[in-house]
Amino acid sequence: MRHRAWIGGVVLALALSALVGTGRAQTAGRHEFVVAGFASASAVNPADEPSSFGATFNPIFLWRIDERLFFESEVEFELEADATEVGLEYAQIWYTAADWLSLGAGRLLNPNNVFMERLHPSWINRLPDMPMGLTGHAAVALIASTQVGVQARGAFDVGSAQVTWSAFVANGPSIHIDEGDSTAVVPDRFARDALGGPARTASAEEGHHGAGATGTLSWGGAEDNNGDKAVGGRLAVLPVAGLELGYGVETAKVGSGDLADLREVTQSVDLALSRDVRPLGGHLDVRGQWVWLSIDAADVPPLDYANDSNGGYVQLAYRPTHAPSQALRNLEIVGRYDRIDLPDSAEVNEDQWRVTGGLDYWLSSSTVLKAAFERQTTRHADGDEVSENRWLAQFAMGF
Amino acid sequence: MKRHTAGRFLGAALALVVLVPVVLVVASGCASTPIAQRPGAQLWGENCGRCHNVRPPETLDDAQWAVVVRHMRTRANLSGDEERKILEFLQASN
Repeated sequence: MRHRAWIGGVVLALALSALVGTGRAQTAGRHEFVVAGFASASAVNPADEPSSFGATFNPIFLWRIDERLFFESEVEFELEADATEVGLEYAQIWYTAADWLSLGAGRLLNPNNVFMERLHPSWINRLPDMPMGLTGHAAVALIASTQVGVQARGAFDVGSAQVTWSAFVANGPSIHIDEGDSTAVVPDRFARDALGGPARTASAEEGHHGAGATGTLSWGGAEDNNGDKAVGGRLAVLPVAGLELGYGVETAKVGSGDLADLREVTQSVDLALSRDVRPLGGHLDVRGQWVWLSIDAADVPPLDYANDSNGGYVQLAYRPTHAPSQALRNLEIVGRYDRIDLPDSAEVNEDQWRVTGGLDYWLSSSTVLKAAFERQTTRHADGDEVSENRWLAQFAMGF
Repeated sequence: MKRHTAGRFLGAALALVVLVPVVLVVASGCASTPIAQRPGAQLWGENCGRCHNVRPPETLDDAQWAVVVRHMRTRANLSGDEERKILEFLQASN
């Protein structure tokens, strides 16, 4: 979503005035206001394409009105080829109803997409780019980054274990039908290059990987394309400290008019393990998320095929926190495998997978220098596979 | 037609083969104190550290922590009891 430049200027001025304030939470009566957020400067150097720099700035506005009412919003400023784009990443009003129940409404980060909800800030994500399938970065998004609707969530203890839950009703996805023009701009704010490049299009001829192409979904709009709302939720178990295993599901009708009965079902599983492991002399961080998206086949072209996709990532990071040297303790080694498999009969049906290795250096608990090497392989419809390499670097800070 | 080969799933299968034993081994060494009995400092490390590096208590003042911990309650599905204990620890340690 694009906004006028002056809106961005007002928001930026608000953020900066708060940042250079007293350093304390601003109060008005019992109201408490904090600006947090993150920023990054990035560089990418593909083997056969020009290298480029990018930058982002994401202020997060937090307003605790009283013991029960709370507001949070993130705005993103991102450089494009010839302009700065401003986007509303999320904006939610919360009501804390009970120890086990919080109620939220607005533009929300998708509770089923754990990477986007918790791990996408550049100072938290341990690699310079984001996994395929979950964000629309470098590929089709299989799951929403944001939804517009209402949600309820909470947690309860079961002895030494904990169960957390989320449920939501939202506008949900709409399906793309390009009717010969496969260059539709990706409507999701997150579905752009993570390094601050121009908004991506669906044109396979231009080298992009199908976001916005016929048969793909988009989310996050303020208008629903049909009367049917998306309903979904996530259930997670934390059997021991530091380990979380989650399962999420969502279903919604995605079409309108003659295609009003087309329904999608999205399922996702996720894993997070973050522990200090003394035998290994450091901290181990294991993450993974996989998504399966299934959309009904229509009776008529161009959607008369089994529209089933899947994708996700697994990631392992190790930081030698018990090393004798501070410089060594600041290092973190990261490895990731991510992948997306698209339907054989889809307009864009190339499968892609990447292997990424990275080295991070932590300057503080929320400031990190990252360098990574990535090898991406694309399997085309005729079976041919093409691989390409690139270097990535990023300087990220959370505040 | 696009070829389907067993190799297309090799990476994911390999990752699972590596990750599942790692998770089981590491998890087996974890403490099993009931959550209700865990102090704020432990809950702070466990919950915050599950997604990102923990930020030292002295980086924010009492009022700021009250706002930020509420933000993290909604983001990370903390219970009310966890929120109170973590906030109490941070405000006592900054």
